[in-house]
Amino acid sequence: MTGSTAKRQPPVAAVFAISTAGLIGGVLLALSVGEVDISPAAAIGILFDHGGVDLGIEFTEQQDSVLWAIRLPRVVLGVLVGAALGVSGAALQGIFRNPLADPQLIGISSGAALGSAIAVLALESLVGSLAGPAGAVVGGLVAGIAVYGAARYQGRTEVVTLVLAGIAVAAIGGAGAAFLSVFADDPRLGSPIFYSLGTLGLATWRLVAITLPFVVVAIVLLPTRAASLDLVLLGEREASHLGVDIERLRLQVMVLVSLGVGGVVAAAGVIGFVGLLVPHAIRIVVGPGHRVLLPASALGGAALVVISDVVARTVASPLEVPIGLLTAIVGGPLFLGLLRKTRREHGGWG
Amino acid sequence: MQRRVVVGFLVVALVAAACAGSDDDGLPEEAVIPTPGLPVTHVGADGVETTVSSAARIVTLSGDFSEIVWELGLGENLVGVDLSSVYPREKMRVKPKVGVEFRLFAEAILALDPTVVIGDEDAGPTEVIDQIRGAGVPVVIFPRRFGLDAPATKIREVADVLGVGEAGATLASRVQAEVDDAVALAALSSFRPAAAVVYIATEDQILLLGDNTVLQGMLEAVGARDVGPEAGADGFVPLTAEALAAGAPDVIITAERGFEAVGGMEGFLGLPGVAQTPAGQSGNILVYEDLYLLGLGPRAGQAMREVVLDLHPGLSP
Repeated sequence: MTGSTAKRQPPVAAVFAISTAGLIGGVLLALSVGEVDISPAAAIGILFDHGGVDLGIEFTEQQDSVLWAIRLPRVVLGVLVGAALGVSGAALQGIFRNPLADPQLIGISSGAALGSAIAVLALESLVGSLAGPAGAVVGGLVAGIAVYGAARYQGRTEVVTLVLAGIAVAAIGGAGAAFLSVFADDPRLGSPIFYSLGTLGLATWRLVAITLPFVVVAIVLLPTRAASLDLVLLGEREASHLGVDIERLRLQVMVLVSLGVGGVVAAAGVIGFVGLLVPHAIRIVVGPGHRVLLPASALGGAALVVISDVVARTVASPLEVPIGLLTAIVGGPLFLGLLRKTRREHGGWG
Repeated sequence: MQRRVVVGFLVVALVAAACAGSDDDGLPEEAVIPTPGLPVTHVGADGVETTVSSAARIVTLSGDFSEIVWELGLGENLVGVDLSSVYPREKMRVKPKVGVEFRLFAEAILALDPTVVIGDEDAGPTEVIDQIRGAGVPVVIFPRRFGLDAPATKIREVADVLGVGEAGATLASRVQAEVDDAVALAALSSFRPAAAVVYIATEDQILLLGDNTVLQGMLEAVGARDVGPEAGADGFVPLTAEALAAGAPDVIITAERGFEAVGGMEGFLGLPGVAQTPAGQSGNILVYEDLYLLGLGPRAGQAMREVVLDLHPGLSP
């Protein structure tokens, strides 16, 4: 996707190679690990068998059904979730010129959770299972715009104010979603934990199919904004002198992020810090250019979520730990580190 | 969804048990009990038509079904149970556990290679049920049943899908006779104490059972006046000290596990509102094993008889 860039900059090729290897390794690991023993070879054999190719690898009917009906949809959902969160985080950090921006931290995920819960309760009987993600997209967008509006002051958006406004909106959205799922006691809403910590455990092919279009739009279209986002890095005024319509770009990015994150939240709940962790790790290696950063963040996010999910479902087997718990354990300390670094660079929060 | 609350605390209480259970993977390959009535096609409470062609490896998703399967003589075929399956205690303890009824994990169930999975409408999340069905394993979802004929109805339903309808009919009529006997026994007494059923899910989640719960109509049947509905309880409702005190029960009935979790009689009498009731003041608290009291399973008639005798000391057994 960014082949020309990759050739010019050696670390770029390395980043894509490492992320891709991590993702493929993670997928094979995720397909092999679980209650039912399936070796990576058997997993590959089953995959090819479904593609009509017999590799001569033996597997049982039970292994086939577990891999095809349970693990594979779960892994595919993990890839979609991770890719959407990774690319969304990178784009938000770019458009707000704010290293602390992340779909969860600035309230978009919680808004999506509330939107999804309301839509499922009010609209699912009318429009079917698209109600969840569609409501999540609207909720995420409303939350994003509310946070941006609250943080914008005299033409400036302060770094920490954005996060503080995000905390407030996230509190409202999260509480609302949890309230609805307790109060309505409706099986379609899942448990409050679903909305606060997320899980890939509900994956079916049907859920993958519902989520796919939302997430793919975000993953494909956000990187097309890379050139404009690079100009925004120079500064808002500089970018607008160079012909970037900042407000329009901001809205485009927020709509695309809401589509991706909305799809994610409706399918897997709120999984935090992926959008923070991955882009920062990638920036350290390849720098801030968005043409590489955005696709690499999608790839890295997918690898991180797929591997985290393996840990989530094996660490307390046969019970599962919510995957958001794991990403928060890693992401929380990173966030604190970023806070300190950002404060140093901005010379205090004043 | 009511049982979701009731069994909620089990997640915490029995994680250790689950881990221990999952360790012994030596699935017993003992003689499979024959089930001549199969295959059977059944339309479940969720509207899904399921064909059960073998009951050689059964997984049950709630304790009452585990107990029914056991009493039907299919205990050896039971390869996995949920965490609420506690009777027969020694037998269930060694069965692999598949999670809690409303927080099931597909792979834990599929790993047991079941030929049939049975649960009721509380089983879920529904996505997990879909995942199991997606793997080609039949999942039979029965309706939630309340009332005096629930135990016998459930026994017949379960027996039919497992191909042992005859054993089911025998067990069901025995259980129904026991239930009817208990009701008849209660009718001999004219004493009608005011009773409340309190269920302690966790220490901060204490519930009063009202209408639309497993015990609907049960207290009347055992010769008590249920103060739950009078206190406005519909379903399982969080117990407020005032609601309980206002109901003024002469006797409080509760389940063993939560009773012990709050520290036995002393702890129970210290719960908000309990001391303000006649039951609390006289120490008239009746405690029964959870599944025995609330399961509406094969022991329902025995449980009712015991409750009748405890409520009416004047009746001789």
